Amino acid sequence: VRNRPGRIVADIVAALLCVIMAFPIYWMVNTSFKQSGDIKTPKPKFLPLHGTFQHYLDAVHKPGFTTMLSNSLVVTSSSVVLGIAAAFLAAVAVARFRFAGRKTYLVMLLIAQMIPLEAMVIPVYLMFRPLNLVNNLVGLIAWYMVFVMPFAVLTLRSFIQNIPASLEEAAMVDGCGRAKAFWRVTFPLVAPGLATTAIYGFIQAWSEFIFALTLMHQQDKQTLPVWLVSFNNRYTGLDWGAWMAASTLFTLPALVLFLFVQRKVTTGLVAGGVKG
Amino acid sequence: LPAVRGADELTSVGSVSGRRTRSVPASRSGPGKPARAGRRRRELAPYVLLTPSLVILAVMLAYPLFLLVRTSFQKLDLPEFFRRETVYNGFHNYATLLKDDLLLPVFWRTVLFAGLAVAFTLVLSMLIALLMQTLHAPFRWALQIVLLLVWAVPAVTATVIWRTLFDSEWGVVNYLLSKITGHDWTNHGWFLSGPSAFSVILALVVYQAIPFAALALYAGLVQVPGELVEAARVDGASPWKVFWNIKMPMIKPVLLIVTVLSIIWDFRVFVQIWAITQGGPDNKTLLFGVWSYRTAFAESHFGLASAIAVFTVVMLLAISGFYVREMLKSEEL
Repeated sequence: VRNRPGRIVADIVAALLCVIMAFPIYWMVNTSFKQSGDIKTPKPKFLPLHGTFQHYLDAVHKPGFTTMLSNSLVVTSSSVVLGIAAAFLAAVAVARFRFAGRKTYLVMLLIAQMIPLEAMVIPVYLMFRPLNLVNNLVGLIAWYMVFVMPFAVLTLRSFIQNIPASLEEAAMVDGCGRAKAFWRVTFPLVAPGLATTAIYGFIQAWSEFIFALTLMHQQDKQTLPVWLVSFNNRYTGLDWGAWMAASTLFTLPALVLFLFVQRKVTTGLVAGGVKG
Repeated sequence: LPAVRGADELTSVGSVSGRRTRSVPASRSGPGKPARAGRRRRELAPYVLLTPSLVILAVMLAYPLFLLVRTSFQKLDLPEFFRRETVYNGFHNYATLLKDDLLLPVFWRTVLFAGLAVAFTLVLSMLIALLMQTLHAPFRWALQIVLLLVWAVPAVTATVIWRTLFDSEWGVVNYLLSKITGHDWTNHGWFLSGPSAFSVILALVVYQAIPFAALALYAGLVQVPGELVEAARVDGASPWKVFWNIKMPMIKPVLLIVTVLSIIWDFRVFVQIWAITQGGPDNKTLLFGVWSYRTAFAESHFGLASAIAVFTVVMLLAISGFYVREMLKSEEL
C-alpha cells in the first residue's frame, strides 16, 4: 500500500512470470489442437486457429493405448488402495498410542523417504525375476505400495493428531469400544485427509517412470509414462500432434486431482519433515 | 506511541516465533498427546496396526536394500545373469568403480548439478514467495494458479514438452531467440554439446522444483506477523534488514525442510536425463542415477551398477542423516 509504483512493477513481473511458466503447458495443449500442417512451420503458430481433435483420435488409436491406459489405472489404483490402507493403520498406531519402538519406526520412515528409490531398481528387478514378477502387474503394484506409503503415514498421522482424542473418549464413555469409537467418531473426520493422501499417492504412482520402464519391458504390460517417452521413436517418427495430445490426456487426470489436494500437500510435505 | 507498542509486540511475539512457524503443519495437539493414562494395557494394538506397513517396508525396502549391498559384492554380468549364478568377488566391483575414469567426473557433475539446482530453486522460489506478498490480489491468484499447474504436470510430461520446445528445427525456443537477439538460431542443437544439454536439463529440473518450494516458503512468510514487520519498518529498517533479520529467522524451519527435500530430489534426477540425452553427448550429462541404471540395464554389469547405487545411497543418507539427527534433537517425534 505504501509505494504504489513498486507494487505495480511487482504485478508486471508476476504477469511475466506467469506467461513464462505457463508457456510450456500452453504449448502442449496448443500443439495438440493444431492441424498437422500447422505444427512444424518455420514461424511457429501461437494459436490453434482451425483447431482439430484429430490428434486425440490418433493418440487414442495408437497400438497399445487402451491396454496401457488400463495397466496404468489398475496398477495405480490397486497400489494406492493397499498402500494407503497399510499407511492408515500405521498412522493410527503412531498418532494414538505410545509404545516401545514408536520413535524407531518414525525414524525408519524418514530414512525410507530419503533413500533414492531409483537406486533400488536393480535389486527389485533381481528380486522379482525369479518370482515371475517382472512383466507382471502385481510386481509393479507391490513396488508402488512402498513408493506411496512412507509419505502417507507421516501425513495421515498429522491429520489424525489434529482430531482431539477426547472426542473418542466421550464416545467410549457412552459405551463404545475403542475401535468402534475410532471408527464412528474419528474416521469420518479423517476421511478428507485420507482422500487427500490417496490422491497424492495416485498422482505419484501415475507418473512413476523408472520402475515401469524396467520391470515392464513387454509392450502389453507397460504403463502410460513409458509409452509417452518412447512414443516418438517407436510408433510414429515425429508425430508431434499425437504426441502432445497423448501428453495432454496423460496429464489431465493428475492435474485435475492435484488441484483438489494442493493446499494440504504443501503442508503435508513440510509437516513430513518438520514434525517427523 | 505506535513505535513503542510495536517494540512491545516484537519481544512478545519474538519469543514464541519458533513455535509459531513450526506449527505451519497445523498440528494443534501438543507433543505429549498420544500418551494417555489407561492406554497402557492395550499394548498389543499398536503393533498389530503397524504390522502391514512393517511387512511392506521389510519385504519391499529393507530386503532389496540388503540385496543391493550383496549384489555389489558379486560378479553379475550377462553370463551369470542368464545362468542365475551367484558368484561373489569381494570388493572387486568397488575397486573397478574407484579406477573407473567416469567416477570423478560423474561425482563432480552430480554435485554441481544438485548444488546449482538447489541454489537456483531456493533463490528463485524465495524471490517468488516475497513477490507474492507484495502483489495485488488478482495477480497473486494468477501466480498461485500457474505455480500449481506447473507442479501438477508429471515430470515425464514436462520433459516431453521441453524436448519439443528445444527442438533444433521446429522448436519455439530457437524461433524466439532468433526474434529477440536478431541472430539466426535456427537449427541450433541444444543437446549436441555437454554444457548446453546440462543447462537445459538443469533449467527443466529447477522449473519443476520451484512451485513446491515457492508455495511452501510463501506459506511460511504469511505466518510472519504483520505487526512485527510493520514495527521494524517504522523503526526505519530497510527492506533487506526486514527480510534478513525478521522474516528469515521465522521461516527457517520451512526453509530447512525445503532445502533438504530439494537436495534429495535433485540428487536423484533421472527421467529428465533419461528421456532427453540418456547421459550423452559423450557422457557429458551423465549423473549417478543414469550411470548406475545404464551400467545395469544397458551394459549388463549388475554387480558394478549395484556398487554405484550403494555409493549414491550412502552419499544421500550421509547428507540427510545429518538433518534427521538435528531433527531428533530438536523435535518431539
